[in-house]
Amino acid sequence: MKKTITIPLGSQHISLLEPVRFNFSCENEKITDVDYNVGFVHRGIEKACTEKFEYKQVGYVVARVCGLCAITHTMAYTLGIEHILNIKTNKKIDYLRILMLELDRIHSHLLCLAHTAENSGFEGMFMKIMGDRELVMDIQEAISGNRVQFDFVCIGGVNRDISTECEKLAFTNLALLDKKVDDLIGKFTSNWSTALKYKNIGALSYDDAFNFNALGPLARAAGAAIDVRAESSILPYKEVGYKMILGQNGDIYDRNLVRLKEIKNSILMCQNILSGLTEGEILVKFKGKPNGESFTRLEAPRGEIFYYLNANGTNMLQRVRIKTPTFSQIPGMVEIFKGSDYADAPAILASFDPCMSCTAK
Amino acid sequence: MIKSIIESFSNLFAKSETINYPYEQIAKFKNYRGLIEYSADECIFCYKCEKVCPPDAIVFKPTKEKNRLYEYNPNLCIYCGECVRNCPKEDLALWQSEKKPKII
Repeated sequence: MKKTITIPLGSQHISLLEPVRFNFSCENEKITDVDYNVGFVHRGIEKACTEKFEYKQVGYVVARVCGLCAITHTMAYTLGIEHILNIKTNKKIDYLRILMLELDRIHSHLLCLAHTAENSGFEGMFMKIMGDRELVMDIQEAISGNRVQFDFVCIGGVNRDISTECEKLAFTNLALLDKKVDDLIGKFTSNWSTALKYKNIGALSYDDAFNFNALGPLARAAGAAIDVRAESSILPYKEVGYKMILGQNGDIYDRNLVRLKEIKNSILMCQNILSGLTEGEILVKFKGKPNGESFTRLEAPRGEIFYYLNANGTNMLQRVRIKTPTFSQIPGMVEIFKGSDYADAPAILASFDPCMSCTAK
Repeated sequence: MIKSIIESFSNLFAKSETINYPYEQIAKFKNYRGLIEYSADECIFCYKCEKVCPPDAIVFKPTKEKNRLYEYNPNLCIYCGECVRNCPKEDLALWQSEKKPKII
């Protein structure tokens, strides 16, 4: 007789943000095996980028891959095509790009923390964190002119400059958020529902982080120093005060803390950029059509994002390949699920911060 | 424990986080990206805006006259402003306003 029972989670489930299906084989309460399907929101974006849109328009198309890390996708594409076209940007453009990337990271991490709180049954905390997140959304809206789809980065530079009013708003909101994050760190270290009950749950060991190709906060919480911001010099992160943040145990508790500390570091970076922003052009003019190929790596809020571009000297690209962080994290996810309780599955899943629209694209 | 009790009581008298819409208007930021507006008198009909538009929201339709007819679909538009940046007569022939599209 079969000893295990199969329980599905998804594709529609109360604890899920996006459509993903897990089939858990359970022995009593323990999960023994996991089967997954992530392709529910396939939109054929890679194909559209090579057949329907010209290379100057693709930046706006790939921004629609993901609503949360829209700026990261455009940025990765833009850096790749700039490498092919041999465009060298100035310091001001680089700093403005880092500023928007870090603001994106702050609000993405806050959303993940809010959902972790919601999954632990702390609805009030969810509302509170989402309220705090509005401070960052306001800065992004003031800078880029739109709330979600920023369309801020373009080939050769950025579309908008920062006005003094925006700078003032950013300084006041970031200072306010800094205090609120300090408060949140207290709540995520001492509160039973959001912190203490998550100790040693959903843990990924240091060795497994390397074996299963973990990326982003998932790897850093396990103590593995994996961060493109430290490895690559494509954007001047070291000049603006970047610091690697590592956890120890790799459980949900550590993942939350790594995210909170990264928010603190990102706030510091944004403040450094805003106070040291120089005068200069925001757009570098360029000529010609792309011919060649490029590989780009960039640190998205959830981990490393990878773009492969191949151009043949025409307006249309030959190949656009997007590898998103969640796609690489799936083997790690499956490993963590094995051996943990079924009741913990939604909380573990929320702590990964999975983005299925990115993965299926 | 005491800290959280004080916090919950102070929240009873704190200002609401949400806005009482539609009685209170939501504050808009300056240079909000809204509808693309066009002036046929200033347009030189280079069709650059039509070429660069990612979702094909701007289309110049052929007519019996010499110049084509500008047609703009605000529901397709992604408000990226690429057309305005590529326009040779920016701010005169084509500009980005802060208006919203009409709800049909």
